[in-house]
Amino acid sequence: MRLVTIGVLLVCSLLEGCASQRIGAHQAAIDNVQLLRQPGIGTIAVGEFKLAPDAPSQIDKVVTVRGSRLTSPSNDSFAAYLRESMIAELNTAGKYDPASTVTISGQLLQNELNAAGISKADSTIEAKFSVARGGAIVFDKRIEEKQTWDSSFIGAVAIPEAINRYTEMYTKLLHRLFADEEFRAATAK
Amino acid sequence: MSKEIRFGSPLACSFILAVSMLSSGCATQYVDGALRNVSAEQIRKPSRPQDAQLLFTFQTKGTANAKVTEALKAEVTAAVTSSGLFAAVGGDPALSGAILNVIINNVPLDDTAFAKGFATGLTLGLAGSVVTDAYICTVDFISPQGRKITKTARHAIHTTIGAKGAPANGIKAKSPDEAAHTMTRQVVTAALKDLADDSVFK
Repeated sequence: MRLVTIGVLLVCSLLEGCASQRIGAHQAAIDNVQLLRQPGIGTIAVGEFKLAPDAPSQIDKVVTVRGSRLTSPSNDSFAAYLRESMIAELNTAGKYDPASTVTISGQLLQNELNAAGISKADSTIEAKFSVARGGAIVFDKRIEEKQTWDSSFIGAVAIPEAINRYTEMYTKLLHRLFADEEFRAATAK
Repeated sequence: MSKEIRFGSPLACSFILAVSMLSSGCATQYVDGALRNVSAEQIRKPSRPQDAQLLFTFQTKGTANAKVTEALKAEVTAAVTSSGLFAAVGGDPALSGAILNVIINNVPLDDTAFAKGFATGLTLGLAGSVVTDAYICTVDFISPQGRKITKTARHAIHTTIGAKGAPANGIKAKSPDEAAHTMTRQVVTAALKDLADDSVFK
């Protein structure tokens, strides 16, 4: 019986990684950096990012993909992950300045990952971004990113793909924000 | 009624083999031999190297893979630094304003890779298989004036599973980690050599 017990424990330990994992740290993307580096954009401080008051608390903590739980490496909060992603993009573009009079803050409104289907999967992330200049709000807008992709019946194929796609959603959401003409006007020098 | 498994019994042997398969002990990685190491001496140095901001993304089938990007970032930085093409390389915005954007995209050559591995697992390694992962490295150099030079290089890692001989053009790696780092260093350096040879890059 000892061998059976050891075997079961070994197999369980091999499968444990599927149960819960943190997504990777955000990496700045060249498209975002180039948008932010344009001379018209000034330096920006990053304020508070939190879950929207009327959003379910679960969406800030976890998304699931076929039984696997994905969590945020930033204080176990996807709103905090969005804030870290914002800082990473601004920092890489040389536009992050904690002392700037222009401050961006955000609220996480939607955070979904649906990869249970046998051939299609999708994800939606929506946030409200606010830009304050000298204390006055000059930009306040909901930005949504929605992606659909071909998935697979096989979990070993579908799950890693869903994790990568989901993580990339933050890059795409921020790209939408950085390309927004009203945002660019609000953050102009 | 429980049945005790004894070492040496067919059931125990099958079980141990199955566990071995699960723990990837039967998979061996070979770095493709077609793309040889390019040494730093083989790379033409610019007369006045400038600094550059390095951005790196590892992609899986065109989608950014944050975990692998983190794992290979230091290898890419080392390859770029040792090339001698730039005065200084880092993640912060460069003083000169130049950007070096490196993307390595993992493209499976064979979409039936999973089925192959599954069949190998079902036969406990007797029906071996080989899976090849292709890697396309794209290096964009964006000058402070916004001019872009793009170079690409290709590489591959072959993974044999079960009873399968070594691929003819493969160089055996000690571990998957070593294969990934060797491939990364070689493919980035090859693309940088092409960049250095471009007359527009000075």
